Formats: sequence, C-alpha cells, structure tokens
Amino acid sequence: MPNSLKIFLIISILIFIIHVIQNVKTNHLSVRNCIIWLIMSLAIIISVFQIDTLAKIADFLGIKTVANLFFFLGFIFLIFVSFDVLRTQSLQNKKIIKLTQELALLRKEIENDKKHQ
Amino acid sequence: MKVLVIIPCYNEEESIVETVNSLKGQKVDYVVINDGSTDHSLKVLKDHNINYIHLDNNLGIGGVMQTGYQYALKNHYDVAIQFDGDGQHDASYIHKLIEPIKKKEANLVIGSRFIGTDSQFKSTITRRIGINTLSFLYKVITGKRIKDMTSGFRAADKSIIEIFAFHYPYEYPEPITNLYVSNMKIKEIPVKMKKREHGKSSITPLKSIYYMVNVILYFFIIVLSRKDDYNA
Repeated sequence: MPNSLKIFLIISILIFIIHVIQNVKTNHLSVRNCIIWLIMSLAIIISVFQIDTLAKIADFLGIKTVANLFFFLGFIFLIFVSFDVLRTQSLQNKKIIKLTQELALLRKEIENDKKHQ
Repeated sequence: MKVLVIIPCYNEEESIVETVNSLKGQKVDYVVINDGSTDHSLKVLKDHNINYIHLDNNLGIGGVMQTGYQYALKNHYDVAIQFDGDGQHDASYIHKLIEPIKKKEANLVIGSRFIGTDSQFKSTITRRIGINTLSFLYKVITGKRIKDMTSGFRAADKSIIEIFAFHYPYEYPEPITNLYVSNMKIKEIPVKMKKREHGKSSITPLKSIYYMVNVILYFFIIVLSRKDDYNA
C-alpha cells in the first residue's frame, strides 16, 4: 500500500473518530452505539500497518487482493450493523406503540373524570 | 351484557359521523379510535361530540384494535365488536353477531360475506382468490374452517378481549389474529357488507399481492414459532 494512501486513510479515520465523539458529546449518538464505530476505526488503522497479515488472511480465504478483503469485511460489518439497527428499531417500535396506547387511554380516563366531576 | 363497538378511524372525515349514527338504536356503547388521522377526522369527532380515543401516532389497524380491546377490558365490557369506520359494515347485524356469544356457542364471531346470500358485495375476484388461499391454509394448520378470513366485522367475548388487550399480534396482518386464538370457539355468521361509500381504500392491486405474500409468510412464521397459540 503506498504511503500516500496510508496517510489519507489515517487522516480520514481520525476525522471520522472526531465526528463520532462530537456526536456523542452533543447527545446525537449514544455511547453504546458509538463503540462499534470506534472499534471499526481502530481496526482500520491497525490494518493499515499490518498489510502483510491482511495479505495472508486474504490468501487463506482465497481472496486475490487485500483491497477485495477490505470490501468483503466491510460488507459483512455493514450487514451486522444494519441487522442490529433493524432489531433496535423493531424493539423501539413496540415501545412507541405501547406508549402511544397508554397515553391515549390515560388521556381518555382524565377526560372522563373531568366530565363526571 | 355490556357491549362495546370499536370503530377504527384513519382519515374517515366523510364517513365517520354516518357510521356512528348507524349505531343508534342498537343499544350498544361505542368508541372511535382515531389512528393519527391526517385529515379533519379529529375535528369532526370533537364537533359531533363522538366518544373517541385519539392516538398521536399512526399505529395501523393492529395497534388501533389493541387499544380498543384495552379500553374494553378497563371498562369491563362483556363483548367487543370490531366495526369499520368507512361504512362497509351494517349495524343491524350487530345483535346477530352477539347471539352466539350470549348462548356461549362461541368466543369469537366473524361476520362473513361468503356464507348465505345476505351480502351482495363479496369483494373483487383477485381478493377472493387471496381470501380462499388464506382460508385453505388456516384449515390445513388448524383443521378448522373460516371462509371470510379478512373480515373486519367481528365480535369478541371477554376471554378474547383479555387475550387481545395484552397480546394482540399487531405486527402481523389482521387475518393472523384468527390464527392466534384458533384454540377458542370461533363461529361465522352471514352478514351484509357494502362497498366503501366515501374516501379511498388504501389497497391497490400491487399492495394486495404484497399483502397476500406477507400473510402467507406470517402464517408459516407463526406455525414454526408459536405452537401454543393455535390448535395444530
């Protein structure tokens, strides 16, 4: 991997890490959800310095180039992340339904009490 | 016997007053559940002093019906009847629907378009093919027969109200609810159904096909994962 590409990757990842931390600081992203992205960023930085190891892994998996291995791992990572997001969204959807129902029924109860007073 | 008619309402500003008025003389209580309508349904409900519950978010028919059953349970109703807000159901059949519950012949009574000759309107051919497929699947899974699987005109007794208030399968399409309580006594009676007079049905032909595929898939998911909920 050429040094210029290495420097570009590291700078991009560092900017990304700062962006993630900034989002956590402004409460737009929870700490729980940022961890996975920080781990991924760290993994990319380590990979940049361990190209030989990556080449061996690629060879072992029958993948011709390290770049393809990167794409492959990135694809798997994104599948896991999107599944997790979908799972969280389903759980939250259930909670929203429950809250909406409880709010509506409570409001009805209060209205009825007011009428009877 | 305390009877509650639950009327789901999503953008039914043109028909909801007529639907509620059609219940007059039936000696039943009613509640309209406004499912976060984006038209003037809420204003119409307020202006006409209609008994309603307003949901801030659009929950879909499952979430709406569960709210209705929760309301029925809280207020100790003996029977809860699902009744469409678009004027498709005929209120004069409400007492026929309750009869089997009164006589303890059934826990859930479904008003069917496909029994007898009461209903001239029996839906389009494509939808009927879909309904027959569901009916066939239901028969294969439970050994029982429900001809009008997608009927939204249903009466539930106290035991079903309790089940649906806590465990309504709102994520699943409506016909799945029949499968959910198939271990209870379910009876179908002939009713008259009309064509929707106002507003637009949200079901397009493409949506119908997607819906059918969905329902069939859900049938199998339920069969594979929740054996306790039906009589296989």
